[in-house]
Amino acid sequence: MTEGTWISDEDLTAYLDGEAKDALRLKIAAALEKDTELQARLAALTLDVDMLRASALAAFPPPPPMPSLPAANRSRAPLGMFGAGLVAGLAIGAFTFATFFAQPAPPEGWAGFVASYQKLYTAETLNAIDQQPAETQAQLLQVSEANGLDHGNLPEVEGMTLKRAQILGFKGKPLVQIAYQRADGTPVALCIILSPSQDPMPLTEGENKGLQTVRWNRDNHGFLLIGDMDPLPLKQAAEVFATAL
Amino acid sequence: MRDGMQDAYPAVWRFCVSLTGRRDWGEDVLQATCLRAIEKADGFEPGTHLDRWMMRIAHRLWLNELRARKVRTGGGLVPVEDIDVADQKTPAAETNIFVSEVLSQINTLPDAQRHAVSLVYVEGMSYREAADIMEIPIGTVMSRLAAARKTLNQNMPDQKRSSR
Repeated sequence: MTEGTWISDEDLTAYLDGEAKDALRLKIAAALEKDTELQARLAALTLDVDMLRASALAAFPPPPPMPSLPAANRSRAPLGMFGAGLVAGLAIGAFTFATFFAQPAPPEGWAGFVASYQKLYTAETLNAIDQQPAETQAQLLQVSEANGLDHGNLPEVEGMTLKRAQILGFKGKPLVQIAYQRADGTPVALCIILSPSQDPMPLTEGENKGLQTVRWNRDNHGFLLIGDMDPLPLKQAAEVFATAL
Repeated sequence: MRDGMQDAYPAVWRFCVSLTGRRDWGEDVLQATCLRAIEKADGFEPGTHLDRWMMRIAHRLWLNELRARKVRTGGGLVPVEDIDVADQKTPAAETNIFVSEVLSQINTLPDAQRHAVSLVYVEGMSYREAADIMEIPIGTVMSRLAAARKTLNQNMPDQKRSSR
């Protein structure tokens, strides 16, 4: 992101937040002296953070009374054992979680993790990504290095626009997310985890956290195509990706 | 642990409201977070920040366990009008309108951006701390903040004052 001459909005944000490393800070400061377009982009990102913080802190409602809590659970007794007693001490809220916690949630695996993450994406999230093709290509090379697949020539899928590629992680394994946006704005993601423990699996349709999914495993990679869309076009897109990767 | 939780409580509360976009859901996540923190007390490293640790618990709880249930049973996300602000009932003072507007603008951000803004700009955390809480790369924190800055820059009241 900070290589070469291109200065991204993320770089400018880090600069404004005092988080840019020296080399980047100096590079931006030097460019700002003569680059009017960069000055305009910086102005479009400028925010009165002190005012925002002060206003937000003033506007938040005070916290509810602190729940009466059991002693720290050194013996790791099931939470449900004290859940019932706890309810009496809770002064707030229409919901209690005693029942919820009585049964530990089953492990979700990486697909569940991805589905939770993908649920956060909206059309607006992707609309906000406006990066140069060269930057996207550089990201694809980075993710190729992370998982050993060649993402440099991703196939075109009709009706889906490539927005961004990034490396996430799940239990220490690289998890690549390639974000697409459909013509109607719907976010779709192709996610690939590098894990030797994946059993081979053909294209398999499913649903996860209300999102439509197609999963398949090959060699050391698990693939997941996920989005809030009809099953058929998602399956067709998955077939294109499965053929190419 | 409980003494420390008392100190961390207000910041964790604010983050829970920011996480969910709603006060009532924020209360639920806060309760669940306090419970889980007690249950997982062994996992807390003394000398580190309890509020960060609890926020990471809150973030995990919301994304992995509670959010889907709430969305399914609660019929939607982020109704801005459901965020109560401290002085909402007496909006005559200009200041109150102003602070209400700021919170409202933050609350209209997409969830992921709102979480990042809450941690970095409201709670004053570093990118590294925010990334650890949300368990995402620092680059993703930067992307979210950049997108949020663009939106807020256009929509926030009184952006002409001293800014960074």
